[in-house]
Parts: sequence; structure tokens; C-alpha cells
Amino acid sequence: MEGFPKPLNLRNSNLHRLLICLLVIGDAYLGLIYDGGVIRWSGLFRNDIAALLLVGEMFIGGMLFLRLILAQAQGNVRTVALILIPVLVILLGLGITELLLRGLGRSATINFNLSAVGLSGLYWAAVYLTIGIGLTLTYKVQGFANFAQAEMMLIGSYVALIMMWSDTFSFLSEAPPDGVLNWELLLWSSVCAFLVAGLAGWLIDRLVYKKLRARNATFQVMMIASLGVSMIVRAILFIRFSANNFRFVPDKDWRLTTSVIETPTQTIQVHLGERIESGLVSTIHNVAPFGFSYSKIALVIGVMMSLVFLLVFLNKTKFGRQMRAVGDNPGLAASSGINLEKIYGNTSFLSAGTAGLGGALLAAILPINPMLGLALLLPAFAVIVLGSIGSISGVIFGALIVGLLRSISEPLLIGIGNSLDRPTASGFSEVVPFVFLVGLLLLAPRGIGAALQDWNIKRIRNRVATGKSKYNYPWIIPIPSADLASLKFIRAEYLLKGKEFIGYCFQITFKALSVIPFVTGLIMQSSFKGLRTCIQTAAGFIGIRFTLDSETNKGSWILFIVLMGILICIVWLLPSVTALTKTMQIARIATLLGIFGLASFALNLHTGITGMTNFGVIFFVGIGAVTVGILCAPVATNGYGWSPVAATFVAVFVSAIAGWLLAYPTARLRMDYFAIVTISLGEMLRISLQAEPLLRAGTVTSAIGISQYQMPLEEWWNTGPSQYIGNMIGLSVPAPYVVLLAGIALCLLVVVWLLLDTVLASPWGRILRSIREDEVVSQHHGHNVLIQKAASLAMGAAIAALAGALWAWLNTNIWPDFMNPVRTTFLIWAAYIVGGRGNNKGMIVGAFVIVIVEFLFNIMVASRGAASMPLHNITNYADAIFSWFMVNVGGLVWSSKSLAEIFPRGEILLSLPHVKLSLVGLVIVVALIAASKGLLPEVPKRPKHRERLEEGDV
Amino acid sequence: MITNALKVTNLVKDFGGLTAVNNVSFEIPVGSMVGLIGPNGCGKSTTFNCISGMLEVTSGEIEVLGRMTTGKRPDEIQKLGLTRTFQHTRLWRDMTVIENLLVPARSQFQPNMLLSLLKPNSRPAESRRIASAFQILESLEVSHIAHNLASELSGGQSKLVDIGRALMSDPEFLLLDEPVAGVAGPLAEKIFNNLKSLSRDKGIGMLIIEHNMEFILRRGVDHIIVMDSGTVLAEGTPDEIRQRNDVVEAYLGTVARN
Repeated sequence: MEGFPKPLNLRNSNLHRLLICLLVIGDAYLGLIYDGGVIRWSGLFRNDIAALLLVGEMFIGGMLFLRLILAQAQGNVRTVALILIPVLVILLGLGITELLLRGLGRSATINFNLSAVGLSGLYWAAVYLTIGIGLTLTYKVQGFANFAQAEMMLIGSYVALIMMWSDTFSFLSEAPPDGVLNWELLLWSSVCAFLVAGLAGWLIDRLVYKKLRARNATFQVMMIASLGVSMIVRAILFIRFSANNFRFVPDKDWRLTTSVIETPTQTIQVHLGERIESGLVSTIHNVAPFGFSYSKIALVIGVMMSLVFLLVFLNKTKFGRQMRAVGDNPGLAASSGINLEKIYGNTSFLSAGTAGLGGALLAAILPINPMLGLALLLPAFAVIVLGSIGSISGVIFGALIVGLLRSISEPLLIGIGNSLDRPTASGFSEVVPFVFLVGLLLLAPRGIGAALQDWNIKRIRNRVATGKSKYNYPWIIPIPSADLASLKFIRAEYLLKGKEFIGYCFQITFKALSVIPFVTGLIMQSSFKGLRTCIQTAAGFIGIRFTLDSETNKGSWILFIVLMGILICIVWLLPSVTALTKTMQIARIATLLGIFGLASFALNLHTGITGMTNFGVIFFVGIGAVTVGILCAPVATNGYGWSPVAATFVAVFVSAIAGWLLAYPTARLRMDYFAIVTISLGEMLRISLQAEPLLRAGTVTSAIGISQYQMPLEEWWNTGPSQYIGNMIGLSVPAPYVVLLAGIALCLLVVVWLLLDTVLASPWGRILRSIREDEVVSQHHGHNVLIQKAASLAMGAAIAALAGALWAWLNTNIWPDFMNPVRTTFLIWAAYIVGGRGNNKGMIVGAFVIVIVEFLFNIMVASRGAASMPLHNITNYADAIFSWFMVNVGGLVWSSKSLAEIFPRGEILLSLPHVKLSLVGLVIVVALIAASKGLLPEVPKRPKHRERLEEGDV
Repeated sequence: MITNALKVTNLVKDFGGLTAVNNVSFEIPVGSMVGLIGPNGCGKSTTFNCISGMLEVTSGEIEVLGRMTTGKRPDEIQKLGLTRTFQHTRLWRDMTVIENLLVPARSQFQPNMLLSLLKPNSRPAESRRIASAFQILESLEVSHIAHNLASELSGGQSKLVDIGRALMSDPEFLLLDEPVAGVAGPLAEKIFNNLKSLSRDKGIGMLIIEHNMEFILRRGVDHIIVMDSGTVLAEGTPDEIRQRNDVVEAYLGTVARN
């Protein structure tokens, strides 16, 4: 695909590799079965952790082995092997489980109910396809990974809910079950969901992506913008529909237990581990039939129908051919008379529309909330990567495999989990697609669809070579074009009248909406310019004349100092009740500045300097926090009772190793795959926190989360310095611990900053930047890109782990939700974009801005309580406007019932945290559209010639 | 004593059924300047990509400066002393020209890795590198743009900086993919003269892909290799090549006659 650099070539000798992988496998085998091997002998790890590491070791060894075999295979054998990868990976997983259980002397029975596995697989495939179809279409035609696709699906779901609550249809969903399925609401809401979501997609394309294309933005920029768009849309959905779960009930009969198709089935039992009297596999025949509910069937049929429609559309209509042409080569397509923007707009409509349609059907099965999007988006990415991005038939194949994998993994995890004392293990089934994705990328970086495609190309070439034409096949009949022409005529006849009016409405809406990014852009730009003018004028008053150029060293520093001054003043002026709360507020802001600043440094190193789009900073932050938490928690509550300082060192080290290892499967991936893998890693860790007992430490062993861990220097602080500091800053009580934490955070921030800036000024910094600009050229100029990327990932990961440790100390307990991307990754990205790519000073300013915005909104939320609170009036005013908008303007569209469902107490309040989220998203999108380099752009390095420097000085 | 700077033996490169390079063999002695010509799509650039390690060869052997490089990574091959340029100049655009030159410099972390990371600017090695980068820019007469961003340069300046960047690692052999493509007459001549003096004075061997026959045929390339549809069609001195009727038909056309 144009725009992406060619994959790197990181070969090494195969014999060397074979030796390494055999060693790894052998070592893991020793460990699993005979309690030997490096991991056991080192004596560093306890039983469970050692077993976990051994499983990981075995998995890595097995993957390396598979990869080696794949590398050796040629021609058709290779194609077959590539297509069989999913099976091989599953077999590898089963084999490892067998070894683990045998080593532990346990046994597990896994019950595969055949119909359940097959039909659930189909169902999950349909679920992933609801997002996957649109993703593929956008990829194919527009060339970027659209992170807002899941939100389009949610728009569809919520349209269905709005219709369900509407006065016309509410009697349907509320009527008692009568044994007759009613199709009306389901049908209409599908149609409306398709149209509304499609229009939303089209609007977003006009407002955002069209402008980016006009600037020749790279696919990377488009992808980041789509992340911003997804934040805005999600925030709007939160504000309108709250975070509660809702279910679309088209008719109560849909939900009856009798509304199922009963399929006969049998169960296959697989016995792993110690087998005393049973064989490996046994079958149970008299099993109750498996009921596949009508609503799931509706989803499967709906999705498959939109797929068929899409395939026909792409292959048989002129418009579809144009779309494919644009996807292949936009420049050439444009020069042969295709209106690119029209194609892009229509593609956006179609891809968002199909997602919306799926969303409406899905809402009848799953409870819907705005967070559902991300949970489904990432497996959908796995699906399209598996099917080789951009191929529709590949995506069907990919979805079926991932769906089946998910449905197989559920009984598998339950069976294994039970035998390993992990009843919550089925929670991992959400992780399985990600694990699979990472494993797949390790084995076949171009996806399985590419193998199919290569095979197909070869076949066609061979056929051409042997002189056979494709029309030798009798079953291919050319479709007469007359039918399509008459369709066109009908359409023109009926639509022409309405078209003008609809077009007019569109224009007005569009103009109204484009005011928002325009005004935001204006504010951002004028504040940048205004600030510069102010500084120059102020300097002029004291007699210094200069032009402030933020892309020189001096200018960057001046701007940094002025910005920090302004931000510190804002913090100082933030309202608070007493001196103590004021101290705590400032200390908390300082600590958060440290945390977000460090995390932004990590992101900047990965993305801004090395050019790897990392959507998973939180993964490394999470490793830091969890490691510190677990190691410092008391032994009595499942922890290790380490001292915080030692634990921090270990956390930094573990995270750095994780970063280094991440480079191996990902270094030669395209940047969009890298982004998908990193964001998936973050989610994997978050889900693992929920499902894995090893990641728990607290009063109740079964409770999720980590708590009661020791803080650094807490005892020392309480024995004296707190009193002293408290007196010093004029408090009548000892200074709270958070003051010390603020000190630690700021010290860490400054130390890391200086260190990082020094290292980046060294030759290493410019090598990394050259990799960012063009890694293929860097490699041809003698730099091992894999090692450099690994080093960069490791260093950034270590810094992020420090941020994680601070986060653990600030929060005093670790819940899985702290890794929610909305609260972390996205904010760090906003700090990065606002602050300025490639400039660590910018990271500090960006992080500071984000932290202050966070606090302002917190204060506003708190101010609802009493009239005496600061910002009370502003909050009230915002609530009043919101309420008016929802009732009087929105009321034209939705019923009052739909408001009552969301705001049950009758008072319509604006959800301020989500307003903040939408603002953050808006700032990201607008900054990208305005091609803004941020507040403090990167300063190009201009090393001087020493001799000339001396001449110049004299 | 190494006699061949580059030795390609029976090189074959397949792209899924399409054979781009079919059984190509040639040798280039140390210090000579060789032109590689042929019509578009005849496999010149693919040959380059195989030699520089960007593409994995289907079969055949490549020897660079006496060492077997088949299966080696591009950075390993570069460390042996072979540097290449790309057909479309690929500078690191958001970096300054001087930085572009500094990146390929050799042994940047020697002798002490920690010190060169932590005290980057006080190292004598670093100032030596900067000095030699400026020297190269001066020899190419572009030292005045040393502190510009690479994205601000004109096409001709980019070509010069690209060559300068390739020289920064003291290569013994250069693969130049159309070094004067898209550059107007006088500047192209300057670039070509520069290359010639490099080859003459420093003994740097070169393999040059070029469509500008004026330079290849008349400006003192020692030897010419002509490729057509993935194979070597002819080999010889410029004078010999001009006399070959099949080459003239396949590629040269009327230029050779004038």
C-alpha cells in the first residue's frame, strides 16, 4: 500500500535461530515437567509465577519454532502452512497446557459442546464483522485504520434505543409477550441505524478527514485523528446516554427462552494432564440440544446480508469499481475522471452505515454502553489483520477464525481454570483474540489473506502462462448491464424531487457543525500567536527587541518558561476551601504533573522521536504500577512485602524488558499494526487484572485489585518532616503525605527530563530520529533498526514504569479501571499533541495543561453541591443550557421517555468528565487539522563547526 | 588482497512467479566506476536491492569486498563498506542537513558507549565527525545549507546531500541509483564530476544506474553493464557498448550514434 514503508529486512542465520529456539523449548520442558530449567533453578520465582513464566517461555519457543519452519517452507506448502496457522497456534496452546498439567500432577476436562462452539463462533464472527466490514472498507479505500469505527456501531445501537423509546414504537417493546414475533421495530431501527450512522460517518469525513487529505496528511495522522474523533463521539454518547447498560428489546417475544432454534449436539471431552482411566478424547452423545436465540440469528443474517450486498456492490457496480480504483491508486483514479472526494464521502457513509446496522442488531443481544466500543474494536482489528487488511473476503475468513477461536477458548479456559484453581479464568476469553493477534503477527506479519492472495496471483500467472483464459469456465456468465441501467432510472425519477431539499438541509447542518472545529482552531492559533506577540511586546518594553521563534533553542526556552509561569499562576489561582485543601490540591496537581509528564516523555520517545505510534503507553505504566503494588503489599495479603525503592527498581527493569521484547514481534510491522498491538497490550493487562489471581493483593484474596501496599518513605515522613514542612508552609497540622509524593514526582520528572534530553542530544538521538523519518534508509546507512527500536522501547517503557509507580502511590490502591484508556492513554496523547511532538519541554507543558483541565472539571463537578462553591454559577449555567438543548431541541427527535430512561431523577445534568473528554478529543483533531506542531515544536539540532564557532566568537 | 569490490554470481530474484532478475553475474574490480544501464523494468533496481540486502535473493551469491553477503541485513552489508543511494532521494526530511550527514558516521558510540550517551557534545570524536561532515559539504559546495532542514532543499541540493550522506561512512563501494535524475544540465555535470574525482582520488568503487547516456557513454565510466528483461545483455567499455547493435536497439537508440 502506498505511503507505508516497505517491511524491514531483519534476517539472521537460521541455524543460529534453530539452536536458540530448541534451547528455549528444552529449558521450558525441563521446568514444566521436571522442576528444572533456568527459571526454577534461579529460585527467584514462586510456584505460580514460575509456572506462568515457563508457559510463556514454552509459548515463545514454540512460536519461534513454527516461524522457523514457515521461513523454510516454499511455494504451496508455505501457503497451506500459513492458512493453517490458527490451528497450529491452538494445538501449541493445548500442548503447553498438557505439559503444565502433567508437571503439576493435575488433570483437566474440557467440554466442547459442538453446536455451541460452532454457532457461538458464528455469532462472534458476526459481532466482529459489524465493525470489521467498515474497518476494511475504510482501509481499502482511504488507507487508514479508523479507530472511530466502533463508535459508529454504537451510534446505530443508540438509534435503535431511541426508536424503541419513541412514542410510535414504545408500545411494542412494552407489550407483554404474546408468542408472536414482531418485526416492525427491528426492521425500522435497522434502517434508521444504517442511515443515521452512515450520515454521521459521512459528516465526520467531511469535517475531519477531508481537511486532513487536503493537507496531504499521512495515514498515521489520519489514524490519530480517528482516535480523537472516537473520543469526541464516545463522549457525546456518554453525555446523552450515560454509562449505564441498556438493552434493545424490539419485542418481549424476542427475549423468551422459547425464541431459540434447538440444534441437536454432542459433547466432545478432551482430557489433559494426568490421565488415569480416560483417553485423550471421549464423546458424550445424549446432550440437551443447544438453543441458538433468534436475536443472534438476526444479527448473523443481518451482517451476512450486508456483506453480500457489499461484495456485489464492490464488484458489480460502476461505483464499486471506482471505489476499488481509488483504493489502489488515488492519483491515477483522479486523473481518469473519478471524483475522489465523492468516493471518499460515500465510502465513509457505507462503512459507518454497515457498522450502525450491525450495532442496532447487536443491541438486541448485548447490553449496550459507550465503553463497549473499544472492547469490540480491538478484536475486530485482529480480524482484519488476520484477513490481510483491505480484503473483504479475507475479513470474512478472519472473522470466522477469530469467532471460532473465541468460542473454543471459553470452554477451554473454564476447563483449565477449574483445574488450576482459577474460576475466573473465563474472563481471559476476551484476551484470546489479542494473544492470537500478537502470535499471528509474529508468525505471518502480512496476515493470512496475503498468503491466499499470493497463491491466487501465482495461479493466475500460471494460467496466463499456459494460455488458459478465465472464460473457459462455463459457470461464469457475464451479467447484462440493462438491469442496472433501469435501476438507475428509477432512482433518478424518485429521488430528484427530494434531493434538493435534503441537500439544502445537509448544507445547513454541515455549515453549523464545521463552525466548531473552525472556532477551536481559531482560538488555538490566535492564542499561540497572541502569546508570541505578548512576549515580544513585553520584552520590547524593557528594551529588548527580538523575534520569538519557537523552533530555535532560545525561543523554545523562553516560550517554555513563560508558559510554565502562566500555568503555575493558574494552579495558584484555582479556588479551594482551606489552606490544607489548597496544599493538598497543589500537591496532587504536582504529582499528577509528574505522572503525566513522565508518561508523555515515554510516548514522545516512542512516537515523537522514534516514530512508532504507541497507543499503549498505559501498558508500561500499568506494568510499573502493578509490579510496585504487588511487591510492596504485605505478605499476609498475597503480596511480597518488599520496600518501595527496591520494588520500583524491579518494576522499571521488568517494564524495560517488556519493552525490549516487544520490539521483536513488532519492529517490522507497519506503524498501524504497531498501534493496534500496543493498544491491545494495554487492554490485555487490564483484563488480566480482572481475571488473574496472581495480580491481586488485598484484604480479601478473591477481591479484584491491589491495596494496602507500602509507600516510599512514609514512616520517615510521619516521624518528623511532615510536622516541619507543615509548619513551614503555614499549616496548623502536619503536611499530608501527598506533599512528599509531589516532591518525589517533581524530582523524578526533572531528573528523567535532563537525562533524556542529554541522551537524545547524543548520536543515539539522531539515529532514532532518522528511524522516525525513514527507517529503511537508516538501515541502509548502517544502523540495526531492530536494536535501536528495542532500546528506544525499553527506555520509554522504563520511564513509563516510573510514572506507574507514582500512580500506584498516589491512588493508594490499584483497580483494573485505572488502566481505562479514556482516563490515561488518550489524555497522554492529548498532552503529546498539545505540547509538541519531539520536544520534551512541550511534554511537560502539555501534561500540565491536561492536568489543570482535569482539575477544573473536577472542581466544576464538586461545585454542583453548594452555591458557595467556586464555579457554581458556571456549572449551573452549563446544566441549564444542556437541559434546554436536550428537552427543547433534542425533543424534536426523541421522546421524553428516552430522557426519563437516562435521567431517572428528572434533573438533566451535564456529565462534565465527558465534556472534558470531548474537549480533549476536539483539541487533538483540531491540532492535527491545523497541522499545528503544538505549543513547543521540535527544535532542529544544528551542531556548529568548532573552528567556525571560535572564529565567530572572536 | 581483494581484487573484486563486488562479485555477483547467478543472481535470481522471483516475485511470486515473476522473475525480475534472472541469472545475472558480473564482477567489479576495486576502485572502478561502472555504469548499469537498461530500459525501465529490466531489473536494475531489483539487482541493487538484492546487493544492498533490502531484498532476499531467490538464489545466487553476492560477494562484497571479498565477503559473502547473501542473507545479510542491509546494515551489516553497509558496515562492510558498501553504501547505496535511492532512486527517489530519501533524506530524513525533518532533520537538518548536517544531522543527515552525521547519522551514517561510523562507530558513533566508541570508545565508551556510556560517555558518548551522557556527555555527547564534549567528545572530541563528535567534533571530528562534525568537522568531516562540514568538509564533505564543502567539497560538494553545499556547506551554506548545512543548518537548513532537509525538507527545505531543492531537488539538486537533495541529490548532493544524499551523495554526501553516503560518503560520510567512508565507503569503499557506492551503489548510486540515478544520481543525476531530474537534475538540470550544469548541476548534473557538477555531480558527475564530483563522483569522478571521488573515484579517482579516493579509489571508491561505484556502480551507477543512470538514464543520462551523455554521462554514462562519454564521461569516463570505466565499464558498462547493460541489462534487459532481467538478464545481462552486454558488458564492456563505453566504446564497445556503443558498437553493439543489440544494445542500441534495446535501449540506447540514437544517442550512441551522435
